[in-house]
Amino acid sequence: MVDLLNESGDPRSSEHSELMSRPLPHIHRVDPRLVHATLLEAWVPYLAARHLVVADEEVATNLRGRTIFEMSARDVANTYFVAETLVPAVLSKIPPNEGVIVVYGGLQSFTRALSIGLQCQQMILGHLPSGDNRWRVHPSVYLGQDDYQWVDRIREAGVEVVVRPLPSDQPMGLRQDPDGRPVLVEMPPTIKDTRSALQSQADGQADDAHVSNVLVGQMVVVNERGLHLRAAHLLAQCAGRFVSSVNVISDGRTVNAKSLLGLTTLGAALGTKLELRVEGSDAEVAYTSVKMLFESGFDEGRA
Amino acid sequence: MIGLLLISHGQLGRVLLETASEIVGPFDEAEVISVGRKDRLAEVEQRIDDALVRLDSGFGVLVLADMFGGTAANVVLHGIDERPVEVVTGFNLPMLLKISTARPRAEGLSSLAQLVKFYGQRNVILASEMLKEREKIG
Repeated sequence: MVDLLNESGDPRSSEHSELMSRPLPHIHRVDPRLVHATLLEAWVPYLAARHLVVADEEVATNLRGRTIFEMSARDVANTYFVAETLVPAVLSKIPPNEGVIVVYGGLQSFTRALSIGLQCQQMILGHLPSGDNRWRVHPSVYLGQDDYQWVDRIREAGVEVVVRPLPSDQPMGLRQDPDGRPVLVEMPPTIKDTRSALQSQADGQADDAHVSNVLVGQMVVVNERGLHLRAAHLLAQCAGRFVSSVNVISDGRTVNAKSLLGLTTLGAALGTKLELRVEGSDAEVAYTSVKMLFESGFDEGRA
Repeated sequence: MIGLLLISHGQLGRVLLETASEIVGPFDEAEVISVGRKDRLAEVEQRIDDALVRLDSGFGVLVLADMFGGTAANVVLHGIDERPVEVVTGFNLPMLLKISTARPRAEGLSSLAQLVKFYGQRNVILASEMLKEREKIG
């Protein structure tokens, strides 16, 4: 975070002081608690975040988990639940300059997003729990040997690892002392660009962000009860989150997947093959979200 | 009797229960779980689960959490299908005082939970404004 990185300030340019008072438009945060009090009551207001991306495959496919987080994040305009590997796709569809918080359940989760091309300058380490053979680097951040290896990998990818549980905490870097133990170090007093590489990338794509994409694929109903009322409700709810049109085609009949009634009239039982057709500016994310829902058997599992 | 479990960030739940006890006397079959910022989720889950087992004497357990969206509340909400619990979030002192009298003669867990939620909400008042309006009418 630039505004706290260099408290001594840099009088050379007014542009710098402006940068320093302006928070980053979005952050990547690692915290196994994912959505919780500190995130909702401190980070969301601090960044005026309008978008919360919960990057956790387990939560994305767990109805109860999603519902709890969605209910608690009432004050955030948009909440997305996706697998870590979908983060770049989601971010590319969010308008630039709108505050975004992406939360990951662990360091390894974050590396999954990096592995498929996530570009960012900084990862904020918000919390890792205490435990046997885990070193305390901060009252709410403990690192084990494995964790430090992940930290190294993240750095190798050119991402700075910053320990900063609360927005009011001074951002600190992590280094290993001569005995190999992780310790906090002051961040180098250089002014970082407030906008991450990802953000500039998003800016570059802004022009074609509204170009429609069409994605078509075959879905199979894998849960025992088929596309019954509850499943249809989930599907309509999921499809309804996107601006893209989401249609399901069965036996030559096309129904709008945002319509609960339309879906239930399909009477799609276990084993039914349906064509999914998604068209619009956020087609990629919409398609993948719907596909994941089908694959999870609408959270009911495979029959 | 219906069990009572307070879960909170830091020592909030413990202090609230102690304070309420000073006002209305001790609470039986009540426990407190504090969640600290270094705690591991799986361990918090285990502590909550153990407490729910201890507190359930066949009538279920009323869980009061300090805030909706907090980690402790999230953890207990994940398990509500497995245990006879009701969860009320945003606890306050009036709720605890009401529980001291309502719990021993409650018809059941869900009616007690409804009453506690209603009573807790009714006691969040912009008191200065209410007083001024009363005086205007008077």
